[in-house]
Amino acid sequence: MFLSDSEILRNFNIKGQEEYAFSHLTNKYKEKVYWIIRKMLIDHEDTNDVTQDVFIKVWINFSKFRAESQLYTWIYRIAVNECINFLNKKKSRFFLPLINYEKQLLAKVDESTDLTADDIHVKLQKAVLQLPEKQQIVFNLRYFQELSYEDIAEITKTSIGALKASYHHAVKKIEKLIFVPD
Amino acid sequence: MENKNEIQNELQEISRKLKILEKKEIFSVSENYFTELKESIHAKTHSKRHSNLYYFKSLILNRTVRISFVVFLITVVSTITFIKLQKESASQKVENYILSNIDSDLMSDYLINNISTDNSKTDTEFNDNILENIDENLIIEEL
Repeated sequence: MFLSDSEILRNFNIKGQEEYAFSHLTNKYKEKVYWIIRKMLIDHEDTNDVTQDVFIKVWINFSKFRAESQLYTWIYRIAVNECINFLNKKKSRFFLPLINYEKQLLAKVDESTDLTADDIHVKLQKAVLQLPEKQQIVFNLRYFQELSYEDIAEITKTSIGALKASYHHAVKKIEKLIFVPD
Repeated sequence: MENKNEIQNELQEISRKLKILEKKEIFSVSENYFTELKESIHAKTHSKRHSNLYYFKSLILNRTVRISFVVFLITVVSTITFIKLQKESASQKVENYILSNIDSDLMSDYLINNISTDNSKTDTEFNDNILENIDENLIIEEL
């Protein structure tokens, strides 16, 4: 049984109850955060490290959370930003022309995929990775996490109109990549 | 639920093929992974909580502490400035008092006597210099 976000916040503001509140927060969001990150980083070990960093950041910055946004959009925002930072660091390390991190990610899909996975789902994941970063984030949050545009706007700090356009373009590109034969 | 229906309807409009594709997770994790993940997170946050750096960071983040620090800083700076100004005005007062109340002849006598005791070589040079520049009549008058 998970505590509601408002109960988690209330407990966090009571002295001595912080760890109890944080324990509930971790229980409630650990899987969602993990899967948001996994869809972007593909590799389990990288995802594991970044997920832990996200929760440590949540713990450190909790006193700064002003409840102007939803707790989960705040956590997802930290997760998305950590992913972007991680990918940027990786890309800057692979600036040599022969090594392309995007290609490495595509190769990792095959390595990390569950043996029972269908070919079409693997193709879908690879197609998502070929999208520009912003479209990738919007598609993952909308299609896989089933979040509203209002929530995605809060997470990405982008207007709803721009998000709808990004999602539309992303879906069209993915359709082309997985259903249209080469 | 409302979100889910809305998303499905939207997808139907953009791509029917993607809409009918069943959502399936292609990655998997070990059975106890999420329990272990929670434990690792708690172990890390616990050690951070008990480290000096965490206390320092939480102190900096605390609004009351920040305001108190700024007030303390302002008080220290203004006290130092006030003391400095007080000292300057006191030395100015002493200087003004000397200039207005002490006889200039007395002062020059004092200076000549004191400087002349410092060094014998410069003492002679200094006296020669005075003798060269001071009006002879004035010396005779004084004697």
